[in-house]
Amino acid sequence: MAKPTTTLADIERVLSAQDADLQAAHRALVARVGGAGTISVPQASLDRIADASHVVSARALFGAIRC
Amino acid sequence: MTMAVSTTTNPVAAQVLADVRSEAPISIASASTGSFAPGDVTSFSPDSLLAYCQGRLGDLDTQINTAMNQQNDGIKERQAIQQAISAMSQFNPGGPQTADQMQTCVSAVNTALQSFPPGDPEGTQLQNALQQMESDYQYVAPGTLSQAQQQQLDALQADPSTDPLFAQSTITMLQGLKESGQLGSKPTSDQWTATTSSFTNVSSDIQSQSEIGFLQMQDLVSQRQQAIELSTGLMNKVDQTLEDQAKAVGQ
Repeated sequence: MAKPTTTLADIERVLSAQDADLQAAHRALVARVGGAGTISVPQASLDRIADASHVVSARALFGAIRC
Repeated sequence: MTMAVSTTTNPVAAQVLADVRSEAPISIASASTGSFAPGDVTSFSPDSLLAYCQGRLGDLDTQINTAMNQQNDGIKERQAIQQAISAMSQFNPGGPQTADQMQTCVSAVNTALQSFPPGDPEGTQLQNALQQMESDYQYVAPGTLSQAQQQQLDALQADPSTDPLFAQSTITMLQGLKESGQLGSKPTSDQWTATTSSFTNVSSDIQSQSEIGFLQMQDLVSQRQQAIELSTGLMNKVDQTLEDQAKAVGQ
């Protein structure tokens, strides 16, 4: 098996960048609609986000069992 | 590890986050829709939407944190074993030739064992390797004698009169063994190489497990990226929609 060339520090940087992306998108949205404003979000979009998280959980669980 | 965006102080967003974490239905669905169904549109404040995304990422973050902790534990365990092997290798190539030298090796392994949580499979493997080493070289730690030796010492101390000279020399010898330990069988170079290899193997096993775990963690991070992209894409799209609507009004 090929040894991973990524380090734990690299992973932490990726996670931080992901969080920064989310915060940036949130800030941009707040700048548009204000803190008290509301936006309409299709349920299908929310479901896709939920599915993305759940799919990963199942895959990770399967991986853990397989190993 | 830095994890997810900070929890918002917005009470509605906090409620959404709590609902998501408890898997309860989200309580801020618009009054017009009531509950969710395919095709529904839900009203969110920006903070609530952020809280929803954070909540959905919670499972992923937990798993990534667990994987990260396992990686760190593996690093500590490997370092501990390497330190023990380093202490043992000072007696290369022939291995320890006295009880004191063997005690140095045993102590080094016992120190390494403290880095393993109870019940850890690799910790058990390391413990077994230690016991095998002690058994192979018939090592008895200081402070203890074999049962036969202890009985002999007790008997001679109780009644040394039969042969006082023999009794005294034997008592001295046994007490010396008790103080410094015993090495019944000195290792040869080949035997010692095999012994140190058994400890190296434990370290290799931990490394293999860590590599598998790391790949799984990378997979989790990759999937988290997808969820983040969906979330930011949703926010940006809504943002863009608002801008487009404003432009349309202006025309």
